[in-house]
Amino acid sequence: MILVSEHELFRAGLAQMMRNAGYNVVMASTPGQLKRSPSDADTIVLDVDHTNGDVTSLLKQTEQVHDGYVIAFGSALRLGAAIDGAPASAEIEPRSGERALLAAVAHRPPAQSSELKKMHALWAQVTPRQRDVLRWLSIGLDNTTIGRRLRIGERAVKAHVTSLLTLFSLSNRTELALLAQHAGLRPPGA
Amino acid sequence: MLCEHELLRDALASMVKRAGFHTVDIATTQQLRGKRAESALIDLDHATVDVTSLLCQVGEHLDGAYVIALGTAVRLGAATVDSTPGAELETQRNGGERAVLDALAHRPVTRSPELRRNHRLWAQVTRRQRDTLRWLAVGLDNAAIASRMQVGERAVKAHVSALLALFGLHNRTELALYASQAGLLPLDAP
Repeated sequence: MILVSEHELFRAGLAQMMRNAGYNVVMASTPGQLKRSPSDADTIVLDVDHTNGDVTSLLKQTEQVHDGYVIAFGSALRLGAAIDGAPASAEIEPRSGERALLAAVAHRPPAQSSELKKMHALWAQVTPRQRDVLRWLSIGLDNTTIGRRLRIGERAVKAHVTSLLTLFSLSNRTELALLAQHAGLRPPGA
Repeated sequence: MLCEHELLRDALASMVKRAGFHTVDIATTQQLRGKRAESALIDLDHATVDVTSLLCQVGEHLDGAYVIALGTAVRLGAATVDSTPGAELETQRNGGERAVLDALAHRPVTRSPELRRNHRLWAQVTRRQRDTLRWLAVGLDNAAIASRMQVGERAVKAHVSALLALFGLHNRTELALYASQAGLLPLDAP
């Protein structure tokens, strides 16, 4: 098993927990490190909360370097944004502890909450362009700057923001930026 | 050990137990009543309450305990204005097992220049400005913040401008994201 987390302390604690449960544990701080130390681990446990990167790219990166069973966990998953591209084999919500993780490792992932299913359904309606807007909004860029980064007009950005506000039933762009941040979206190269 | 992220709590517990400590795991501050402890390890990242009031409550309930704050929010330095923990573990630089064991042995942990700088900035934030940030952290607009704080909208606007200048930020969305990452939340949040 490989544990991936940028939170060094969490990584050390998780490793101890999984070793106690009888697993052979290899640790990595980022998915990038997996490439440098190839292993035949059949399971990857991925912390999506304590990362500087975008949650969907993190999952894609993990899938590229390793084709094992991927278990993702973290509070960002509760907001359901991580289903784009390379969904994890199992998602663990932070309210569940050691038992849920051990069950997922045994390929018995916990059932998804109805709240999570609802969020997944909403994110499935977000277009790739709207997702790009949210990535830049997650660090607080204004519409003009986002337009420049995405090489589209400010009015197009505004239209994306408006439809996203309606989709997620939010009342202003700050709420939307907070949602993007909490859901683990980040600009490319962040 | 106080942490709302159950998996992180379980992981930290197995690590600390292996080092010979007896741990009591707690999810929320309500469960602190009647508990006694030599040291308190507090995760600031996954709290659903304001981090400053979290640390104050820990100090009140566990009188005399050595408080160790940890998490990515530590680096932003907002949590420790009203109460001073014994140690602050910034997960980016001293988040490893050794740092926790050192902190539990009451060995001083050095603060990064960035953290010291952020502490200095937060020390300049007035109580009213902090209240503004708490509401901003959940995305309220100026008019809504003004009515919650029973002040005029222009007063809120002035607080926001002063805070933007203090932290070197460009717009209120950036400020809201910053407040949220630092762990601020309205005090009467559910």
